[in-house]
Amino acid sequence: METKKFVNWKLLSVLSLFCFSLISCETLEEEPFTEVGSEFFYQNEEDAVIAVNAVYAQLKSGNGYYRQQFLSNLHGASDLGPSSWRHGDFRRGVIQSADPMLERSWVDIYVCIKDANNVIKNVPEIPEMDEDLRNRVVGEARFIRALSYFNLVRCFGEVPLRTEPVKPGEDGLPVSSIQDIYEVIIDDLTYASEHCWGFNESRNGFSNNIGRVTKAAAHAMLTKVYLRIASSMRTAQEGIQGNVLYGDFPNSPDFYYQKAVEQADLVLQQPFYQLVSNIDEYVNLFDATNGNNSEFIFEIQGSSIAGQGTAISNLFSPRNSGLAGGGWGGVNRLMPLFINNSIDKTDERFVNTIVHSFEDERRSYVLGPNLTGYQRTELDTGQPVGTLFRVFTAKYVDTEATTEYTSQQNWHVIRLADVHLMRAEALAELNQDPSLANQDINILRNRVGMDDVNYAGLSMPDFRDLLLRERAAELYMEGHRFFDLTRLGVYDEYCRTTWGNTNGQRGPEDYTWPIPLIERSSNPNID
Amino acid sequence: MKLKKFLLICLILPLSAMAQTITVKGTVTSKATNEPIPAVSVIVKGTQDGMVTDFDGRYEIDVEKGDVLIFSYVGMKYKEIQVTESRTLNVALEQDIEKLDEVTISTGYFEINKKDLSGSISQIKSKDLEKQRTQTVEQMLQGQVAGVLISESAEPGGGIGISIRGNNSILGGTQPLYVVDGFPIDPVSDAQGNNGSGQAQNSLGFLNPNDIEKIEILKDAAATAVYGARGANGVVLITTKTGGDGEGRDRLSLTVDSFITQVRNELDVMDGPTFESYMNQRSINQLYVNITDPGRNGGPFDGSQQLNETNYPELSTFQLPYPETTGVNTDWQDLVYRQAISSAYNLSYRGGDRGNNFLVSLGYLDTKGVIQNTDNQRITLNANFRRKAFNNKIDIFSKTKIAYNQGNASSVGNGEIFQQRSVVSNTLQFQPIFTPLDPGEDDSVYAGLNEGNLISNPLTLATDVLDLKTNYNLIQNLAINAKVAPHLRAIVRGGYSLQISNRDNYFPITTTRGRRNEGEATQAKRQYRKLYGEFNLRYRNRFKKHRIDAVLVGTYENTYIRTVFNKAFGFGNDVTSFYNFNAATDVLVPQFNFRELGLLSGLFRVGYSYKKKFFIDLNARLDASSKFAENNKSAFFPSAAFSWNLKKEKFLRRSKSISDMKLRLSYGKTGSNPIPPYRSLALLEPIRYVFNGEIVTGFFETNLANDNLTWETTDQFNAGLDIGFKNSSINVTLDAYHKRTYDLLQNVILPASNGFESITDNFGEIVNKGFEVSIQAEVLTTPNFTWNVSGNFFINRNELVSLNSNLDFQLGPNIGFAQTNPILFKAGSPLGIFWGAKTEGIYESWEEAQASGIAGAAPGEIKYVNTNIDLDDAGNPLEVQEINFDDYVQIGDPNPDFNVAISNNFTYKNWDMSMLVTAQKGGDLFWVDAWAIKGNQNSRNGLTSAFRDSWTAPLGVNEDGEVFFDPNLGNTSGVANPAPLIDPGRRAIPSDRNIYDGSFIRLKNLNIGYTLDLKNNKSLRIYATGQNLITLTDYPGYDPEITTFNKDPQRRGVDFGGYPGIETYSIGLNFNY
Repeated sequence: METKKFVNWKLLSVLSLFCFSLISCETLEEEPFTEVGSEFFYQNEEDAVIAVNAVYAQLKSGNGYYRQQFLSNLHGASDLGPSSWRHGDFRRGVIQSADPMLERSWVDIYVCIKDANNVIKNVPEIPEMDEDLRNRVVGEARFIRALSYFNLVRCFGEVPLRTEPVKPGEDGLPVSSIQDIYEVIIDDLTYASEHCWGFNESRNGFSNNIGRVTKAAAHAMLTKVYLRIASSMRTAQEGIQGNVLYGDFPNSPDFYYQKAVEQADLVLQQPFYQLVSNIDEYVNLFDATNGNNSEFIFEIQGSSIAGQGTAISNLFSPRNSGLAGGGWGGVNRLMPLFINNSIDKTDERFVNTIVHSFEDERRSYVLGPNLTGYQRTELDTGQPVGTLFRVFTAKYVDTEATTEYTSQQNWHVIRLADVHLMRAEALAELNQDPSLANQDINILRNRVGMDDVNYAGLSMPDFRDLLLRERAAELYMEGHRFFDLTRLGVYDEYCRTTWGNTNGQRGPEDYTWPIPLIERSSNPNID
Repeated sequence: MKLKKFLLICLILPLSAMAQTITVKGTVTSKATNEPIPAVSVIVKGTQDGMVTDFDGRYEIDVEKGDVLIFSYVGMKYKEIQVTESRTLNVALEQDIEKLDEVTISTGYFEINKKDLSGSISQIKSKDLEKQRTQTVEQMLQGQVAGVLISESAEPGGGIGISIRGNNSILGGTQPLYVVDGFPIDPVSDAQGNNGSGQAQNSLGFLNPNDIEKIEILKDAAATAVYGARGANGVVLITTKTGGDGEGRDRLSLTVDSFITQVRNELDVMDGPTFESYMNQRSINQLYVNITDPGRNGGPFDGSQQLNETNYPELSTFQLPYPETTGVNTDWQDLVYRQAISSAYNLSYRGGDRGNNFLVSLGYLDTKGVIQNTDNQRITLNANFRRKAFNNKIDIFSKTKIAYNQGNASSVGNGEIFQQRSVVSNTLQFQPIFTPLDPGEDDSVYAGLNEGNLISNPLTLATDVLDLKTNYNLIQNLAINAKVAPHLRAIVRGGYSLQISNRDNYFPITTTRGRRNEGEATQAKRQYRKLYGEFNLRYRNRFKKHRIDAVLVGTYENTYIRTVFNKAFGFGNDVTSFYNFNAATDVLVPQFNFRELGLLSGLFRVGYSYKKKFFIDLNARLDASSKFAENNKSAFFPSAAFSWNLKKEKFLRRSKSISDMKLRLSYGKTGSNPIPPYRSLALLEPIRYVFNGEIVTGFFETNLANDNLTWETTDQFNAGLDIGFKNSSINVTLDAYHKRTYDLLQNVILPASNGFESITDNFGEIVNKGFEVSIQAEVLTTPNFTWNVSGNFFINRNELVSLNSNLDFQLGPNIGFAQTNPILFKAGSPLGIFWGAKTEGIYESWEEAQASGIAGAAPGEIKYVNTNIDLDDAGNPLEVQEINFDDYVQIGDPNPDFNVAISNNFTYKNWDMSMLVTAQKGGDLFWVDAWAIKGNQNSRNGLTSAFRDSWTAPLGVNEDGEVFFDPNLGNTSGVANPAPLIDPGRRAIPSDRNIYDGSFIRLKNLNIGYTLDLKNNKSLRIYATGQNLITLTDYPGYDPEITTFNKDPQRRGVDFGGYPGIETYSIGLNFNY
């Protein structure tokens, strides 16, 4: 009666053995291949240097903030001229917190700060390391952190001040007072000025590669910071509402003017850096292949190596003209009203660094005698087709660039001429005597073959107008203009000159940009 | 066993005193094959007593004299035999084709009888769908199942969105888990998944719909919990056809289809002359706005002044751009879109009997897209074998699928590429007064109207750009199925999947993007392989009125993915396209990615039923995924279901009208792990920099560690009722569900000041609840004429209940030309609502504009509602009010109100006809292109209607080109669209002007066929099919069903240069031998 009831144990066990052998060799532990876990890093000198290299890279690579948008934001927000159509709200002074250009810059600056914070936190803990090198690496990171916060505080005013690596799950910080932010900036730069090395200096078998932060760069940046505080504070006290946050610094403006003079003096004592001696050499400073020269103290490095180029040439040079790579670009230009009213258009430094003629596929462009626009001619027919009332700078021309991002043009963060101009300003302000500015300003003028000026007897307001014209001639389109106009409290006045009464209107709220929506919406400590 | 028998005897002995017990034994075989059939149930009629045949089809049973034995087996006609004496009774069962298809439902790892089902599972059989002749599997599902929403794709090889019971995941998308022949499938991924049009890849592109036998859709948690960690979006089980019909016949089948596809509707954009008058109107309007500006130096014009150059120097530079017509009138839509002819061929052979059989099928599909230069070819091979081996003790199944896809997308994908100028967006916007390029010409001829930019016309974009996607796909499955004990079956299944995808692009110098970088080429390659192992034990037994069905499953999956991405630019010329990087001056460092993933799972399921009246189904699944944080890798996913067959109750047993009724209740937990690996770890990545021309490397932190990263979990309750009326000729299924998803995974936006833009984290909680009805009715059944109707209706409501952080909302991704964030994830609102400014028409005059106090307000500009009054520090309203994010409100909701589908099937003699109508109510669409083509804001083309109904100034220009004022001219009041202006205000902010109702009613499919029965079982069916023949909708864009990011739940309902809707006509024939 019993039918064949069976249990095929053999089969069952073979099958299960097969399965469990498959499973048991798996632990589900993750081992990333193309990345490295953080705990395995910061072991030795090489790791330290590699880590700080990445901080530099964040200034340029990928979305690095000196790559594109930030520069156009600064240009668009100034009185120089228009930037791209995407920067229309900067030009009109109606920047919204949801503006994607604004957001990009904000994010990129803080990404850079994050990497600097990592270096500053971790490199001191590396067990065995050359002390000079350790200090230098930390100094470099602190310089870049200070530069980044300086950009933030100048563009946005009060911002979150993060100086330690963020911990998982940590909320965003509330904004800090600008006094606290400047304290960090000054501490960082002071440290950098003490511990960074000289230009191309070698110590203990390690070299300070050309392009790294130098002692001079830290002093120069400190000059800029002190002057910013001093002049903003002065104008705040004179009733400029846009600078009202600068009213509360512990010392008087003169204290900071004095500091600026001291720091400028220190820069000028550093070896290697010196001014060129004639206008040809001056023009040559801006040659694409002449980066890291004796007048340029700190630069974001471009290169013709694939993937290491910058978009700077593309942004500032006429499109499709052979003066830059890429078919787009040429967005940052000068307005005729700026040229006619806010700069000395006979200044050699201006005349010799603007583009006088170029051709694109269809037309030739020749700068008119007023230096305010290019007369266009159809190449095919020779027919004139009106005037393009915009002027390009030649400071970023790179005829070898093949594409949008392959220019070897560096971005000039700070240069020696600026230090002279800053010292001139600080000395005059400190003593309420414009003639004290003569020396530094004339050094710069003489080197390009221009006559001396003498500011003796001028009122301070008149002097400041002329100083701003000098700064414009020397430094136009190098990213300083928006900051100069705000710290000197003349932002509204100059924008009206260039943009007219409607679009040129700037109120106190325009001295800084709104904190981007992306931060406001994700940071519970900022409403 | 002996004990049991002893007890049985003890029970039976006293009875046998009264009734005469006889013993019947024998073998049950298949009439067709003469093979013995195991597991045939042999039951004494009127009792629950019985047994099942053993492996060799033998049975032996003690019964009372005169009892009737019922032999039944899945897929066979049951047989009743009265026995009167002890004897050997061999029984041969006949095939029941109808039943074969109907009675069993696959639940994933095992199959059960539909009557025992407690979960919500919908089954679709190919024989119901084959007639529709769709070319993708997802399209087959359109309108078929309540709760399943399919978004169209008209792009050859394009991606198709599918959602089951709403949207409960953000990162996980709505894509269900696809399981093909027991093998869990990962979506076929684009080799270059980082690019905009990377969205558009068809997950099931490797499957030929002709190879599909049936599809089961697992909807509630009782059903999906067997897939635990990956069941949260629902599970779609696809079973491919196998050979063998029990009759041992060979069958050969050939189908040939031919399609004509065309754009369903072209949009009415301006023609050449209209565009020229638009351009003229821009200048006139601009002049008027300038001279009437109250802030104008010299005072505004108010109609009373003399309009001359002395008073108004603006007039000196005024000039109509087109005082005379250019005579050019190019219809770019006509040029870019085409009528495309596609074809498909399928050949299949199936043979063998139920035990040993095989099937081979070959398919070739050549699709051409309605956009020039877009196409996709698909070759598929499907080979399934089954063999009974080792004295029929073991069943071996082998299933092989090989597919090859290649297509050119021509970068039509979506609007995000080409500086937000996709072919479609560009087709609508490119100026009709330009002609296509002549040989030797380049885009500089277009610079004049394009702000000096050398922009390509849409035809060049479509024809010159290469975007080749190639995909090779192999899936091999081997299953060994053995009976290891009388009630115990074991299955060992192993699978291997290999996908190789390539995507190669070239943007030639003739195109906008190519020009930027002197020709730009990319080559992307992705290799994917997956190993799958499964061990499956099933125990089934019956104890009197109790039946037990238990399954124990263990699975392991290991996936390895590597990708390489190469990019070069600076090509001197376009000769070698992307093939040769030697031609490029700049070759970037290749980007590599290597990933390994593991998933280890165990499942235990017990089904219990009592008298076939009550059913209880308990599931427990444990999953461990490598992707999560160290201590959060594994999770437990239980489910429980109960169903009650009410028909077995007294009060219904006699009901004639109600023939079936079952109540189902279930609860379960499922999960989702839709994130890339390594997200819980702190990671450093290399980066390069250069010092004075020399490369240095750096390492920087790219990912913030997240020790708490864990599974996204969904709790789902389901209540369902199945009712059959009139002998099951009408069946109604009702389901109501409540799904709560928590620990939602999301790339949570971090405060950027923390240094990281986002972190993968558990983010919030979503609730989806809904109601589904489906009805099937045999309306008429006569020998010559049948009419069946089936329909479904479903409602889903979803709400983002809370966010894990202490924030109220998170911004969605940037969208569109102006890179705005119109999508918001806001606690208390439906998922992914549209957020933007409200508008109230157009400012008519300067008085009205100035009274608003809003910055940028001017006549002819859009009147945005200032919902948030900006205050100064003292709390007083600012003099100048700005429209910004604080003023935004909810302007739309992409979630549909409800969906309906009705399908009618008729047969008359040899004729058959089917008709499918689908409809949706609600579901807002955000039409990005409306900014450009309804904004009248630049020198590009737009909708004719937007220009016709726009603000125009009361100025005229006479034949001498002199401007005059006439208050009767122009149209300033009650217009719908802003003024064409040279220098317009802010018109590209997200507003309700972008929002459109996505409701539609659509004749999705109409099919008529005629079957010719030839001799010797040969048959020939000839048919004609039309798809999307009629669409009723108010949506002014191309198609309400096609959205651009149909697979991205963060950007639902966005139409941004989406592929135009198509209608398809096809004819074909199907020959069976």
